Amino acid sequence: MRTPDAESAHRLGELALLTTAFILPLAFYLRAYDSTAIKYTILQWGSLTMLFGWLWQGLSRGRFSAPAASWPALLPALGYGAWMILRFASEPHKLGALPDFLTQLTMLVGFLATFLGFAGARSASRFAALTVAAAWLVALYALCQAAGIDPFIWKGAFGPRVFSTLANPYLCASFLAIAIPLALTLELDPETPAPLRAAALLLLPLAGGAVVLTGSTMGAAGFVVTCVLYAVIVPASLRTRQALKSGGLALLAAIVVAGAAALTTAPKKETWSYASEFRRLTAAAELRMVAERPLAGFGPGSFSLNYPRFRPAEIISMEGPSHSTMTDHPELPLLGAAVELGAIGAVLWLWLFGAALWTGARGASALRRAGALPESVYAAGFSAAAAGALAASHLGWAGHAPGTGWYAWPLAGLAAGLAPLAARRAAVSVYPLPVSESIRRALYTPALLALIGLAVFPGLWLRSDVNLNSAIYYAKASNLPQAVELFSKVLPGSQGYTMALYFKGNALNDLGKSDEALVAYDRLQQQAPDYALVHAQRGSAYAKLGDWTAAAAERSRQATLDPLYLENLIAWSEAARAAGNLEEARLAAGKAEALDPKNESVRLQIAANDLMEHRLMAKAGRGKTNGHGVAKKPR
Amino acid sequence: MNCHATRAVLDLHAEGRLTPRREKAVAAHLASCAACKALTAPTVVAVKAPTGDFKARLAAAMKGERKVPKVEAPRLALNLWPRDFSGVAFAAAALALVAIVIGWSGVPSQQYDRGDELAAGRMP
Repeated sequence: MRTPDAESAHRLGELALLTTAFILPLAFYLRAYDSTAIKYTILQWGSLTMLFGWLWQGLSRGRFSAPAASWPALLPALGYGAWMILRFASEPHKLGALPDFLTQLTMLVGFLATFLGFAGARSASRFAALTVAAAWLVALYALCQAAGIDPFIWKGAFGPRVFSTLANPYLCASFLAIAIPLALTLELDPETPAPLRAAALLLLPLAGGAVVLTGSTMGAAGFVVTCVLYAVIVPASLRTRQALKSGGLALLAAIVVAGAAALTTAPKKETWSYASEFRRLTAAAELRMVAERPLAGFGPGSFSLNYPRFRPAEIISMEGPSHSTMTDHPELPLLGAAVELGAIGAVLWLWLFGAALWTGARGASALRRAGALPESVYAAGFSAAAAGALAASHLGWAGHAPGTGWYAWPLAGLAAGLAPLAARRAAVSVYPLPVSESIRRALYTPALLALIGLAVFPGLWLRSDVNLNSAIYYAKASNLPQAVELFSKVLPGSQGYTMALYFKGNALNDLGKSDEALVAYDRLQQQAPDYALVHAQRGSAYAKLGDWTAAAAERSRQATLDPLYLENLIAWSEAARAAGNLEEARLAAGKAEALDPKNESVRLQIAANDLMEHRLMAKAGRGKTNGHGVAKKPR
Repeated sequence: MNCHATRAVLDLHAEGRLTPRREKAVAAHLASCAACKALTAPTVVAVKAPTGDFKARLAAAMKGERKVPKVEAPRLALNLWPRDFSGVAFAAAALALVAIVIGWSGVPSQQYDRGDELAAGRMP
């Protein structure tokens, strides 16, 4: 039943998988606002192609199938995907949540595509080899940066710490940590050619050195965790002398990197306590979010849209004087799943990875007994690599970044997909298409057109990020009309869409077009109700329009979200006084005084409030105000 | 199951790899559809009886086979590099086109005027 078309579709999907594995960690684009925005584009293109490759393959064969034994691992994945789509369909801020939702969806596609379509020793060995090749390039560039050789504009962005193509020291270390188990697995495969085996082994010192040079404690800890899990899982699954030797190598790498990192990058006590306190407070806030919506969560991709309401003042204080910081991702992937998808989503997440990794690790020994040596090596190695990537992602935020977070999914899919191959003639769950071949052939072109049509969007979103970058440049250069024009070109669905609406409103407000600014803020708040300082900015716009009551209400809301923002409290006091609400003005000035009693603007507000009270009293004779600027009738 | 669906799984049916439920459905269809049933019948190839000089021809053929140089079995390799470079050329051209369309002009990323790991969540 294997027609040439099915073979082509299979090759296309596999090519997309392998290309994504190789390019994802390497690609960056410095003309975009987020230099790693192109990684999202590649991930979306790769996932789309994998998905269509699989669909096209099914169309060509006239059936979709999966090993009957694969249901224990497949069921939670399908359940997780269905629940995620259902929750997205019912969440109120779809456009704001769309970018992160798509990232989560592409990661799930990575699991499903590898599990159903491309699980085999050949695909696995190619996946490992290309990831190792990418890790070589990442590590070499990191070493060049350490030597002061970096032709790009971001040279020295993190001081002496290297960050390579991942654009961040922690992410660089995290990616190299993912590549190490794959290199060891490749070395363990008896069919790997000798030069490739040598290259895989050489990656260990190279990547280990680069990890130490990142100066990232979290990254080095992730490296150690990944290596230790490999050293435990692979020998336990395979029970061979070679596996034991490979585990020993992983353990040695962990010890060396841990020692070197402790000697060279040990964090200062205050830095360490800052980071741990920050994480503790964020996790506590996330638990409060879970407590508010325990079962179904806030919806996939909506963490950053809802988090401002839960962010504690201590974190605002720790974040410094900016007050406009947005927290993009939850601290821990599992807790993040609980926040966005509720207990149902968190249980499905645990079930998905638990079942996949258990299937992979247990399947490895069955494969070895069946004589499928390469398959057994990749099932064990990839189970260990995915377990390591997941565990390490709980030490930081690497699980949310495309260049690092994606790998756990296809690795788990490949590991679980290899396991059923142990039974050569095992039963197959098959879903035949009840239509003729001519109808199926007629569907190829619409499927291809749909692929091309959908593939346009990631490109447009990348272009949006470039526009956002240019717009911010013009805004900083005070060319506000040009900035507004470019902010308007940032499309819904792009990573910077909500940011662009916010900055567009700010630029219009600065241009004196407060009415138009409020329209932009309205659109922003439909997607992100409490974005950055939007209430303070709305307050400013209303003040310019002379609507002091609305201005005071917005300033009050901002003060609830950020009680430490002094300028907002001062402006609140001023707006409330102008609206004739002296009691509210006194409340705002009192809060400002508690923050900075000697501040000149605060003293001025208190004096202005006192003056207003005196005037009102004078106007009303001996009467007192009722606290709303309205004089009480004299007794 | 109709004929199209049944014919799409006949190979798995022949190998005995269908799940019991699917097997039952296929069997039920085959029992009622002669056209599909015919597709499952084993192929019979008519073989002519050997002619008188068969033994001589066979010996000659075997002698000729012995002269064929021994071909070394291909070594196992990962074959990471594609055999057909037209695909690579097409991909490279497409990527170059995308790079041009996206535009190399403009201003460089402004993320790197701060150098801390929390930059991911910061606003300019």
